[in-house]
Amino acid sequence: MVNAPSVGVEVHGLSISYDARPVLSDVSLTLAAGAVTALVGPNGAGKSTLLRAISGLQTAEGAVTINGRNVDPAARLGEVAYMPQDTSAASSLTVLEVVLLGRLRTLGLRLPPDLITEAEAMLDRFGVAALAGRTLDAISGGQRQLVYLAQALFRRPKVLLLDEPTAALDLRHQLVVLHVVREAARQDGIVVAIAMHDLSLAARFAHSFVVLSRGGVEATGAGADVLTKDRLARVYGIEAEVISGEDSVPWIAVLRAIGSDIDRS
Amino acid sequence: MPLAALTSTVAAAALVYGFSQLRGMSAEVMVLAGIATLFLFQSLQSMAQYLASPEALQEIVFWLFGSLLKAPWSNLPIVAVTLFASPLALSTDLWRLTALRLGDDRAAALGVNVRRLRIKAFFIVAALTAGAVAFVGTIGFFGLVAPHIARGLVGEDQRYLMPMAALCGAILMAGASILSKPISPGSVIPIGIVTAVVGVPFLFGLIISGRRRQW
Repeated sequence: MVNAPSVGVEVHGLSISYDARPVLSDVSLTLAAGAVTALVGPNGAGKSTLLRAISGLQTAEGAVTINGRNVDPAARLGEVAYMPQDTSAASSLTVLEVVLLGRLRTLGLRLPPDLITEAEAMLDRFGVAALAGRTLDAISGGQRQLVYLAQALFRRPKVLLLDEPTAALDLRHQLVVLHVVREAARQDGIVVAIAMHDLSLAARFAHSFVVLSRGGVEATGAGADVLTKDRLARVYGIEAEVISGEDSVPWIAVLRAIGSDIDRS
Repeated sequence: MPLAALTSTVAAAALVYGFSQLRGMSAEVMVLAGIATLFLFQSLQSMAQYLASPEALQEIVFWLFGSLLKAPWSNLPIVAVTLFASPLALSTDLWRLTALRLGDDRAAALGVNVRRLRIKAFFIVAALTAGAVAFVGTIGFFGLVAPHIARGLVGEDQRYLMPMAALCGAILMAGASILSKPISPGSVIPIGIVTAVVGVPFLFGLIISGRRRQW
């Protein structure tokens, strides 16, 4: 990562334990502003925990700085938009209301019309403006994901942390979402970190990678450097072909799981 | 009497809150903790009935029916103050309460101090309940049914839902009061009996219609 260290998010010596079991130990990394960083690693590697810790929702040892300032966890929630993985919702709030909640701190008894217009424009950015009046429990999981993304960007955050934002989306919407997020990073100069499993998709949209394994940072860098056959075998326990695609963006073709029943069959 | 009611409702609410917090504040745990608390207070109430003098026992039984006849004008100031002060105390939290409908995690991510808001809401609801129950006894089911009707009418934006729920409750109460009068000419059936008779089928209707909402 070549960005100046004062711009973006810096994580220093972050450690978290649940019931004396370490989930993250001494994690240090930099997330550059204006760029998308993909956070990858197997289930249980600590991706979600790391995102929650950076957002300030999860208390942790260590320090997090935003644009060079040391920000305590409670204050971080004002600058960081964190989007949890879970998209289930039993709420019958309307889509427009959900987006408006992104500006929770500024909402009063009366809503200024331009705020509503702005919220509708944000929905339009994700192609779901037509859903504005629908309730959250009446739309699909994928559509809910888009609405939550619109809410996250509506907050005008300095840092956007997304936990598997494309998990519930169809192929086209995966591309739309990652494109919008990447553009937001570029235009608004915000820090974007995305935890995701689809390595090929991540390589296409992310400027850099952080590979987590067993609660620590295994590697950081550009996709082409980080996603190697050996590392995928070591971190994920898979045998894969790494194909250099267009603009030398790596494509991962997963062949088999090493040492599993699938391997023996 | 209102102070005793407030103390008891706050104690009951604290019990429900305390237990629920141990298991992650899910709706299911809260309902179960509520039922357990109900049993506890019912047994305390039975003990009070057992130990009471015949005159006091009659008073208790009448209170348990729930009746507006027990609400003279002289009690109005206390009820009015509770009724108007409580929503006022929550008026700056309306959007935060709305945000809670997205779940604790998302609300927290939006900057809501979920714990503090919930304790505040619990206390205010306890005060509202105490203010009403102390004077008119246990008039059930409106608290369950009115918010559901209101939600169907105006959605979950608390700016509208909260006043609409109060309005629905008031209209239902007035309706039940009118209904309670001609049933037995010459006397007024305690309104608590009427609300239960009308409210239970309505509640069953809500459950059967499969609208899985948080109570």
